[in-house]
Amino acid sequence: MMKPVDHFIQVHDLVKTYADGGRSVSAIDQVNLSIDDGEFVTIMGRSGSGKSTLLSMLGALMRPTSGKVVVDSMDLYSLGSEQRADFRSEYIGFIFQSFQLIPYLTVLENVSLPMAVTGLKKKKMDMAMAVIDRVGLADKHDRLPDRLSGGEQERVAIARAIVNHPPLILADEPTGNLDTDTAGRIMEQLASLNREGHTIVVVTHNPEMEAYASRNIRVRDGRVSA
Amino acid sequence: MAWDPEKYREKRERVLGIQKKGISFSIMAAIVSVTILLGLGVVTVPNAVSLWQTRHLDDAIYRLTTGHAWPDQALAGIRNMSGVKKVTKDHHGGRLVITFDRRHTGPEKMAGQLKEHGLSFALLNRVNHRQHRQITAEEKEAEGEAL
Repeated sequence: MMKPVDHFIQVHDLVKTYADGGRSVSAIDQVNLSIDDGEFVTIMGRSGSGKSTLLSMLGALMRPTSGKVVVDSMDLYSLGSEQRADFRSEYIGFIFQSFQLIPYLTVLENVSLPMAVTGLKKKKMDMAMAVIDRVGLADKHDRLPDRLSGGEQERVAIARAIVNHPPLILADEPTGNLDTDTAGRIMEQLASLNREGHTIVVVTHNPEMEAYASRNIRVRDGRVSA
Repeated sequence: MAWDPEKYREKRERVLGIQKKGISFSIMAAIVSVTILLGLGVVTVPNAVSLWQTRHLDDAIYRLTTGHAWPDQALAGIRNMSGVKKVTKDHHGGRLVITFDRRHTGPEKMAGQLKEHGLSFALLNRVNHRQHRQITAEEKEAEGEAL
């Protein structure tokens, strides 16, 4: 399984095609890229350019039609489905545009959810409270998501993404539903996580987000253009 | 930052299900615990079983007043009595040791059986079977040391 690699993430000849009414539509077309450990990368492109599809394949969520995604020397799509689930649990914190919080669980319960299968209950709660405190929501830990603002819900999503200390954080349009000030604060939070050593990959169509990243990857018609 | 294969080794091993070389502390602790429990079991279980099985047994020790050895034909009737577990002769046949269940018989009944053979005898002692066994073992050990 170990392969000689130079980068934390390596993408080789990645292709994803969808069948659309009898014809094949190419969402990702022969993409090659690499991301180093500790980088903060934005993936930018217009709606429908394939950037979210690329992110899903980086996160072991979507099997490519062909090509390889190698993370920490592991070829993700040669792993079994359980190993891939373990990979997501160990390596990745996901942040989605729509937050994907569970509406009937409190902030604390939402954040501790990724630790449901590991650790002792008290320890888990302490760890969850620590990250909730870190995103500035300690005083609202017992609230349900619908009692929070959009920015606060996003911070809960960030807390949930980092509670297992994943090396890689993948965010899909994390500021898409937020006003400019709140979006800036969220990006600051991601930049802070990056300074602590997390590798961050953010899909966005907002050019202002580029300023926070160490590198920008542009996707156009399923191809990496820069 | 170049990729460092050591940085996330533990995570990678968990994903790939790679077992660490050697025995983990928890497995070693489990092995030691089981060994201790089995050792204790080997020592204590037979003792406990023996104690349980002999809890109702006593020994009655008789001697013929003539000082002669006990005749074998006199012992057959004793062996067939209800509650008698064992009949042995010791001290060169001069003493008769009858191990019996005190719930079913006693020295009086056994004496009646012996009298049917016209023997003149005396009950030297009645003692708990386990206690008697222990005393006998100690006596044998003392004799061995004296030799």
